[in-house]
Amino acid sequence: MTMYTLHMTRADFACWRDHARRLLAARVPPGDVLWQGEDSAGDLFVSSDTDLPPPSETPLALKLSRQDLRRLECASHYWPTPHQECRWALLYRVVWRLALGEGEALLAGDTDGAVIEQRVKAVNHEVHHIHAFLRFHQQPIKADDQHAPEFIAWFEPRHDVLEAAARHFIDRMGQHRWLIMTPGGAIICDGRQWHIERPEADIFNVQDYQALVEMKDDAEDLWLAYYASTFNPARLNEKTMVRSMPSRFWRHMPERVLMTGLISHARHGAQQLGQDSRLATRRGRTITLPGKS
Amino acid sequence: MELTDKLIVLADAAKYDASCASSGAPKRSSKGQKGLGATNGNGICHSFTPDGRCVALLKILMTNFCLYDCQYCINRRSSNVPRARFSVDEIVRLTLDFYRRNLISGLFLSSGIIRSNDYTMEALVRVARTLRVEHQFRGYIHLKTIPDASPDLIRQAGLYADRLSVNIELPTSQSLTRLAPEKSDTTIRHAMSTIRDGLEEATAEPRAPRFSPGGQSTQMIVGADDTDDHTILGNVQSLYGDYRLKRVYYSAFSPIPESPSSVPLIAPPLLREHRLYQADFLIRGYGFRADELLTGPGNLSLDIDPKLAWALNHRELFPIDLDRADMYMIARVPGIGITSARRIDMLRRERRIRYSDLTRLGCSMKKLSPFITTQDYRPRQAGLERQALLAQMQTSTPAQMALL
Ligand code: SF4
Repeated sequence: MTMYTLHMTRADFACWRDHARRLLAARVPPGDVLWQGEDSAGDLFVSSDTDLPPPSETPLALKLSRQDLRRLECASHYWPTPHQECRWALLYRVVWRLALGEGEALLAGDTDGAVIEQRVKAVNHEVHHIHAFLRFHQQPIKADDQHAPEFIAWFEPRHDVLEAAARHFIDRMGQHRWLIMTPGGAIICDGRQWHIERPEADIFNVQDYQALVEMKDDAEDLWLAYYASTFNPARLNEKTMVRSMPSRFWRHMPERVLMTGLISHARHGAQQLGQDSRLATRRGRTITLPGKS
Repeated sequence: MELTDKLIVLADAAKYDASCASSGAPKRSSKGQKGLGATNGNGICHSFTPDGRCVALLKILMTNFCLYDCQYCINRRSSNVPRARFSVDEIVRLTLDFYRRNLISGLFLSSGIIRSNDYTMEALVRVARTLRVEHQFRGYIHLKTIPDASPDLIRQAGLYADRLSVNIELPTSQSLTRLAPEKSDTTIRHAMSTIRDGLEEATAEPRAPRFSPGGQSTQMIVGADDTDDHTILGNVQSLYGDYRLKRVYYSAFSPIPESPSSVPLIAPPLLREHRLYQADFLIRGYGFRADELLTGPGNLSLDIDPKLAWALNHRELFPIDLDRADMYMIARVPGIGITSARRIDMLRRERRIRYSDLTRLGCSMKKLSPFITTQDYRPRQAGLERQALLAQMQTSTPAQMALL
């Protein structure tokens, strides 16, 4: 049995699709393929693709609905841990099975379908996380500076979500110029267009970001005032907070400085009431109806 | 008063409103345009406070001065709290500043009643109009409607807001008369009908003016009076039917400083609020009727969720065969949600269902196991009586969501 080694020259879905199409045409079963890419454990010394056999007389081909294709692409944005299966191998096995008529391969009840489903979910969840928990920091900009970003952010996503984030934030931010830095790449937007920069060797790190953030952003103090005040200490429920907002995101959220204080204050029984304790001690004011004094 | 101070007072005053949803708005984008903000129908929780609640919107009162004396409310006129009032510009500035930093997805604005109902409503509408027209703000806006405001002002509010809500406040009109003497069930329902009519017009006529595309919602305070869940769910079911409500929010009564003697000094268990949300979801999403969930007076069980409680009371309908049963019945099995029911249906068109499929679908196996059969599985518990079944499930399941 020949093993075929294939290189993912770019770790993206389009590159995988080209390979998969040729593999199906040549009827190469998934067990015979070694995928070389950033997350596959292939043979490091083989540097070029093995030549594929000529197209088979009964080539396999597959037509996928746009929805299924999108699902596979989404699953391909999942970055597996070292113990998990290489994403390209998984995807190829699924299309191979589909091409052989096993329709269930993409359904969540199937063994492969369940992994696809779990990865799609994880990716979508991470997209949601970056939409929700990313924080822009406003930069002081000289009035005549037409290029420097007005808002910058740092985020450490677990999966490849940059494109989804770019599309989301360009909708929100109008003509503002902004920059989102992540360890694996940055999104740069000039107020009209965005592009993603993925440095080959040099990756961004959080120090680069911190070096950029020079000044305190005044709105952050207002936000802290709001956060503490909208919290209801009579309903303390730390678990739900942590479950909904995993702590790996806290590091770059301004409200992190308040959490411990608010929790211990509420827990140590300072109050059974919902009111913000900063208000409880202040002078209040009852209101007299007009015409009644 | 400093802006920070006002913010502290007016966020504190607004936090008893449970809703912070930013979902249901139409698709809007500011890509490459003047202005700011987008909506895409999905809500985003930008943060969570240690009470486990989502922060999606800047939720504030315009002012907590109020002429009314609703007994359950911290802002009632006889309450001795610090008072403040925002100017239009201050609210606009806070909204835009927070929005740009991705701290919120929009504004939820409500107010105490000052001078007159129309005066107050007009001021709320002015904030929304300024954001939308002057600043071309395309983020989410939820306006709390003053029930006695004129229908014309409510229609204007619908032009700018993504969602309008009128609080029903208490489960029954008797309680409302007792605890909120200046309010009336009739005017509250009247305002709800005005909004419903606006919604219907906007959907029926393509050229009708925009009207609150995210629909209307309401809030009910639970535990400030002694109405039971049976009455609450019955009333809620008719509210959904009568006013095209997107959601009813339940807010467990939170004791307030210097509480008047007409309302309790302790909060109802938060678990009760949670069970009401679950029952509400079954009514909205699963086609349960209120009287199926609670057949007589009383409260929902705190120990087990309402779907499980229903199934245990209808042992004669189970176990069901997942290869044959109606979708409708599959979704009624405890531990199987709507999504899983749909997936089971898709899978069974390809092949027969196996027990292990359900694990992969993420169903709650402990809950569902007594209620289903598959080609390779038959429940052992089939003969067990309700009590024994319950005991068996409870010894093996960790307590439902520790809320307290
Ligand atoms: S009208 Fe009643 S519920 Fe509303 S703020 Fe005034 S006192 Fe509170």
